[in-house]
Order: sequence, then C-alpha cells, then structure tokens
Amino acid sequence: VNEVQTLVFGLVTGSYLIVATLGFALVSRVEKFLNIAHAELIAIGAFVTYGLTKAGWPLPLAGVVAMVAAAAVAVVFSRLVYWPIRRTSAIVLLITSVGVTYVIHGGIESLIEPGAHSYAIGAPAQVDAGLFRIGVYEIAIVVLAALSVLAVHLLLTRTSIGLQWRALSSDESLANGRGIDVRGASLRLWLLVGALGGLAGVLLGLQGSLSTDISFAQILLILSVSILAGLGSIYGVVAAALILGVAMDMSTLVVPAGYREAIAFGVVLLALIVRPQGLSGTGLQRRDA
Amino acid sequence: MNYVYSIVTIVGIFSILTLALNLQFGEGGIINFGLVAYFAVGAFAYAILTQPPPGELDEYAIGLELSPWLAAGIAVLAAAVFGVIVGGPVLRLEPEYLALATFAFAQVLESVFVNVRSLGNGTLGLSSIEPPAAASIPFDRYDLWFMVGVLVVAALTYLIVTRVSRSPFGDTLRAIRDDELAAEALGKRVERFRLKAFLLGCALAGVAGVLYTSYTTVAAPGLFTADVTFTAFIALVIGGLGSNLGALVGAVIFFGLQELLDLIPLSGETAQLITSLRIAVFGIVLILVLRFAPKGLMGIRRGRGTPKAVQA
Repeated sequence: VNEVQTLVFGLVTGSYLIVATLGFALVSRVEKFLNIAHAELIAIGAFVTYGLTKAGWPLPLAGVVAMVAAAAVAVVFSRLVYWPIRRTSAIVLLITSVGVTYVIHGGIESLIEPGAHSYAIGAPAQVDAGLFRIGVYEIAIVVLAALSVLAVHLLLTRTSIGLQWRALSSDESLANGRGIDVRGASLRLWLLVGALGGLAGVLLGLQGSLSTDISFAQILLILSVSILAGLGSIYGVVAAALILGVAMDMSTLVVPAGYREAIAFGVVLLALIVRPQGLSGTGLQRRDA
Repeated sequence: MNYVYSIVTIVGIFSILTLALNLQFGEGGIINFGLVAYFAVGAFAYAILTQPPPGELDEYAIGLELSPWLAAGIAVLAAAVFGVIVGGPVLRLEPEYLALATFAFAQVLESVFVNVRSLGNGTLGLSSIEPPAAASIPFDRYDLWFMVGVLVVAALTYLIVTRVSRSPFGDTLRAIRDDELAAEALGKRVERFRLKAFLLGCALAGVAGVLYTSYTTVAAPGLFTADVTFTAFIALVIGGLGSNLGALVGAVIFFGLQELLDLIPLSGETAQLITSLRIAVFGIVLILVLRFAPKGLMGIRRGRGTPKAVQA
C-alpha cells in the first residue's frame, strides 16, 4: 500500500466523518447541546440497512428506508425527551442524551444478535486510477458526503427554514417574538439531523463490519471532529473531518492500526491547547449564563 | 450468605465511585465524562504492581510483586497523577469541551489497554490478582472480611467528602460552580480549587478501582468502559446531584438493584434480551429523573447543595 492509496483512504474516511458529524454539529448549533445519542442514529441507519439487505432489498432502497427510520427516531426523541426540557441547562440536556443513548442502544441490542455483521451485498467493483485503486462504495461515500454538505449549505443559506434555524441559533426568544414557529423549525431540524445520521450509518456499514457496540467509538470520532472544528461550527466540520480522516489513515503507515482513534484524539488535544475555540466558531452560546 | 457479601461489596465499591463523582461534578461542577479512566488506572496499576514477573505464556512485560498494601497506595497515587495529566490542560475548558475532553481521554486510555499488550495482556486482561491480606485471613472467611474492609473504606470516603464539602473549601467550590466569574472577582483562584477537587475525586476513583480489581481479581479493558462512568452518573442523578447523602443513597439503590437483578437465573437467549432491555430501562430512568425530579431523591428534602444547572 503506497502513500497515495492511503491518502485516498483517508479522504474516504474523512468524507464519512463529515456526514457523521454534520447532524451533531447542527444540533450543537441550533439546539445548543451536545447530543451524545447522535451515534445511535448512525447505529440505527446501519442496522436497518443490514436487516433490509439481508432480507433481499437492494442497497439504495434499504439505505433510503434506513434514513427515514433514523429521522423518525430522531423526531420522536426530540419531541418526547429534549423539547420539554429545552429551557434547562446544556449540561442537563447532555446527560439526558446519555439516557437516550442507553434507550436506543438497549433497543438495538435486544433486536440484533451480538457479533460482527456485514451488509448482504456483493463485493464492490474496483476502479483503477493509476496511482491508486478505489471501490465503487468508496466513491459513493465521497459523492454522498459532498451532496450532504451542499444540501445543508443550500438549506441554511437559500431557504426560509434555514433562515429560521439561523435565527433560532442566535436568539430563540427573539426569533419567537418575530413570529418564527420554534416548534416546527426544531422538528424539521431533527428530521434533517436524523436523516444525516441514518445516511452516516448506511455509509459506515459500507466500510466494514458492524457490531452492536459501535456507537461509543463513533461518538468519540464525532466529538473529535467537532472539537477540532469548533463546537457549533457547520463549515469547520468539513475541514476538520478531512484532516482527521487523513491523519488517522496516514498514521497506519507508521503505527499499528489499533491506534487510529488515539491518533485522532492526539490531533484534537493539540488543537485544544493551541486553539481552544476550534478551527472556527466561538463555542456554544451559553444557555444558562 | 455469599451473595449478600458480594452485593454489599460491589455496592460499597461503586458508592465510593459515585461519591467521587459527586465531589467533582455535584460540588465542583466539573463534568467528568471520563470517570472510568481513574477507576481503571487504579485497578491496572494495582494489578501490575502486585502480579508476579511474566512467565513464558504471558504477554505482559511488567510484574513487580509488591506487597498489596504498598501497591494499593501507589495505585491510588497513580490515579491522582493521571488526574493531573488530564486535569492540567482540560479543567479550564468550557463545560462542554471539558466533558468531551475527559470522555476522549478515557476512550483513548481504554484503547491503550487494548492495544499495548505488554501493559495489560490486551483484551484478555490481567487475572489472578492478589487481594490484600489474602494470606492472613482463612479462605472461607475472606469474602466477609473483604466486605467489611470495603464498608470501612466507603464510610471513610463518605466522612472525607462530607468534611470537604462542609469546609470553606467546599463553599468556595460551590461558589465557583454556580458563578465562576463572581468567585474569580472575589479573588478566588478558580483553577487551583477545581484542580484540587478534581484530584481528590480521581484519587477516590482510584481507591474504588483498587478495591474492584482486588475483589474481581481481574483487570480487563472490557470491565472499564464508558458504561462505568455513565452508571455512576445515573446513580448520582437518582440520588441527587450535589448531595453526598444523595450520592450514597443513589448508589445503594441503583447498584444494589442491578446486583439483585443479576441473581435471577435466566437461560442464554432470555438473559441476552433482559440485559439489553435493562440498558434501555436505565436510560428511561435517567431521562425521567432529570425531567421530573432533577434534584433527585435528596431534592425532596432540601435544595442547599443543588447545582444551579439543575435548579428549575
């Protein structure tokens, strides 16, 4: 395996991390808390895809259903759990999201048998690009990541719902006073967040096998990307995810692969010391200040 | 009778851990999402210090065969030192970043124990760890005496943390928790107070780790996952954040119930299902308590020590 090949793998990993972190970053930005349960939305996306491909569904269809399922779960939890306590502190919401993590995790474990699982799909066709080879699924990951970023960008800048989200993120009571339907805007946000999490799950299963306890490793990566990007920063996520993806995969040329995640955190720790507010962004606005 | 000893011992050990968390988070407002790391450092340090030098079949490289008492002391110190390493750079961060940084440190520590086989035998972990005073107490009475020992240490821990929280140091700590800027304006050295509280909490978590590993006689990475941290949070939230008595009551109820449920004999598949559902139920309990009784059981009595963050 040469350096160029590893760099390409790193960019694929980074692309996955973009999709995995975007939804988390949107919640940090608009709802102003860290949703630890975001990794469980990814797990739902992955295991719904797994179940449906095993039942003979074609992958694209299974993937879409998985995104819908994750979006539905996200909306239900936001309505039942997060919405009623949105006026408490960011810390209470954070710990509550740990509770949500346990609920979804327990649910998944009671349905899926332990051990490693893979999508029931064939081995992907490989494309030889001279300096490196890349599988069709990897290309799909990069393309879908680019489309996700584009979609979130257009939603935020070109649509009225995006304007509402930005208004909510800067001042909820003012937004409410100006006639914005806070409840409806929040609901739509969670739909998007769930769909993005579900998509990340679909992509996760394309990169390797799944086990029911994937979420802690995933949330660590998501947290690393968001710290590097600066909590609440949306666009910083793209750069941070690609940097971390490349750093993690390039590190395997030097140190054993088991340290990939430790490397990710090493980068983040360095960033925290040099630039505590992240690549961009100024941190969460204090809700309880 | 043996299972009673076992339940009381485990509840005692996790009470110490919950009290340590209350000192850090309940009193100090330091949201330590990596509590398990200090518990694990205490446990692994104790194991490495007491185990014999590696034999031919062992992958671990260090075994010092120290006396258990000396090893326990050094292990607690090691947990505190790890607290300095982590706390030094991260305690000045905003609460969310602090939660993330401590959590990530714990995850990385776990990955180190898994990957560095010369340290702790990888995922297999270290086993046959020698508990203190094993030679001087008859084998058939050891469980009883170990339980008594744990209860004594838990009682001492409770005395220490209540003393600390009633002292001027505790007052300052709570002042910093509720209004850092005001405390700073009054000339309090905020970072130093927080670091001290964090260190004491880490050392106590290390004590719990030493007791846990000498009770189970194994130290494997699978025993020291983020679940340990989060169950301590659940116990603390149930009992009442910011109250030492609450931490104790929450730990007794939560961990006691958990151990009792483990006694129910179940067949393989049902056991798997019940374990999964239990995880979900813990989550539901945490969500419901935070929503409807954010001050926990102690909130029913009084609210003096309750952090501002959970006051309605």
